[in-house]
Amino acid sequence: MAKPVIAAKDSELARRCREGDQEAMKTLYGLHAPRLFTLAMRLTGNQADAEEIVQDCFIRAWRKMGSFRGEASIGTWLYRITLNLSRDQLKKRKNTTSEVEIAYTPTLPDAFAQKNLEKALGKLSEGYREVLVMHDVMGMKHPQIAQVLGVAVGTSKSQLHKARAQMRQLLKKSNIARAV
Amino acid sequence: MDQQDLKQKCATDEELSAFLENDLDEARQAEISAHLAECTQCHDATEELRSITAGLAALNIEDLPNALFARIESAHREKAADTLGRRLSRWWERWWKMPAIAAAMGTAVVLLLVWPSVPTPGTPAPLTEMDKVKALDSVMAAQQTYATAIESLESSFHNEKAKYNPQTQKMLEQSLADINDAITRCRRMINQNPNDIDAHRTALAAYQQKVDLLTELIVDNPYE
Repeated sequence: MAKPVIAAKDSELARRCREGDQEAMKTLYGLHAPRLFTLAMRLTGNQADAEEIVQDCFIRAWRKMGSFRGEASIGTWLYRITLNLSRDQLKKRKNTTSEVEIAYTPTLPDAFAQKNLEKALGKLSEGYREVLVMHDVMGMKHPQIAQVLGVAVGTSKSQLHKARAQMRQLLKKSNIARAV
Repeated sequence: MDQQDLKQKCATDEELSAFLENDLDEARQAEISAHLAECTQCHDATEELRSITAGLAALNIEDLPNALFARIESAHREKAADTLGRRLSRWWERWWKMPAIAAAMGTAVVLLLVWPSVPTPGTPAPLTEMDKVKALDSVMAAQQTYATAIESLESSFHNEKAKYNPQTQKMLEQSLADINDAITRCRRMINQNPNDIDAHRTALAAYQQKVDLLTELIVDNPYE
């Protein structure tokens, strides 16, 4: 029965944040910021944008904690805010470029393969990229992805498979699928 | 099985992805599994999809810029201050757009200040009985204005108080009850002696205290 324990912890954390408890705000940040940053970073492909999105997400969350109803977990609520902020950011950028530009410098040894994956990810359609990032990059499960996106679990699964198929085609075009 | 038959059984990339996730029904899972043992093309495609998935997992970033939390905290404080400033200015505008209130309060305060309880040497002329009646009328009007303002503020506070924890709510309600007691005592004194200027002064001060407290609670609430 892990869910009620999480729900109780979430509502306690939400209550303390509502009261302006700095420690609670710090806890909330520590628990969720790294994953929210990954989500924003991989959706927008830009580190500065991702930092700004995480910043806006937490400011919004702290100020609007009163509207957190506890129907979903705080994590899901924060993912949803981050997703919407990322979409807004991409919309703003749409006039200047047609695809997401990847500007994050990878630190892993297989940087070349990683760069190609990032490029292909940037070329995916927005909906496919969202599911692929949440599932394959962040390791989220379909029920939570479905909650964040507001779609059925089945839709989340089919989007994932379509997204992977498109990724393979994109990488194949560059003849690098095997190199990944 | 010849190449033609084998190709007919080939799975799409989407199906192969679903196969990797075990999302297909049992029969199709088994069929693809058997097919992969024979078909190099589908086998390679599956391996590519598997390596893409593994590669994507490596894109997970767990290290955040160190200064980010401090930046967020500072931006949060700035935004809260902006919001407070905007709300204060809205409140200010609302009240100063009501000249009747301002005039009644101003007149009452001025008349109370110039109404000497002890004659001061050098004071040009003592207030006439008519001046005193006018002063009392203004004081009464000011009290009525305060009562209206307080009613409106109390209604706003009633909507806002859920945002405070129960202990704070209790404390605030106690403070308001203390002020209400002071107002009730003054009213009783005024009823007994409508010309008791000290009772009027104390009542106005208590009203002002209540307006200040309610305004602070409504305007300063940082979670709005």
